[in-house]
Amino acid sequence: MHAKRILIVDDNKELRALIRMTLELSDYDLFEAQDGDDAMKMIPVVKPDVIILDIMMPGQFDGLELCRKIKSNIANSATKVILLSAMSQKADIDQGYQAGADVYITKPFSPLDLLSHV
Amino acid sequence: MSTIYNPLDISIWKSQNDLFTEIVSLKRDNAFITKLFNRYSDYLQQLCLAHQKTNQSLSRSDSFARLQKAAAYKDDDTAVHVTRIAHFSQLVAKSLGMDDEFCKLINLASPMHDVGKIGIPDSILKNQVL
Repeated sequence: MHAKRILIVDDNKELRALIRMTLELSDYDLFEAQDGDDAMKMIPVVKPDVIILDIMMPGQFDGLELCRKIKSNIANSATKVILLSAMSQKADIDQGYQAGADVYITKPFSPLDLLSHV
Repeated sequence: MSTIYNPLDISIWKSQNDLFTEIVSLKRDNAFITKLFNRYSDYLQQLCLAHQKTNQSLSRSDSFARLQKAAAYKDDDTAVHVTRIAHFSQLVAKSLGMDDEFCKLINLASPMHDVGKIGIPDSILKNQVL
């Protein structure tokens, strides 16, 4: 079995670095995308097992839209999507799960929590 | 760097307790946890340094900008004069083969060349009679 492939999608560079250093110590293949458009291009190539996805990002797709697109494509049906967002209202969280997310984590988040969900 | 906790602050107890629970639930060995936390502390230090540096350079360019403005009040010439000087100095420095750091610095510093005029009385500066 190959190492789990994880795609980190967030426009914040420091946050990507934090997630990377959290996951790097385990045997994962890590990939980074800086926005939704970037992620859309990478997903068919990288074929990630897990996608860690920010919601509010610049560009054509936000995290929710991207999540819907991922989940509606049969090729990605086994991909686990972890939404990571500063939007912490119950309505936001519900919307996240409706978009097909497997896990919704609100920011500020504990990277250890993320580690246990991957 | 040391942090002083107020032992009466219950929110700290709670957050430390949460952290402990999280660490236990990770089910990883001590070496892993130690490595992870060392990484976090290194990164935090790095971020703090970067933040400090940005703040320093911001306050420096702010002081420069204010001094420039003060000098411009004293001058009959337009304030664009100093902006021109900044660009010219940078270009000259670059064509002399100076490094980027120096070129940036001279762009900031050269507009200061007339600041001394603030201390010179108008009777001398604007003396038309030779």
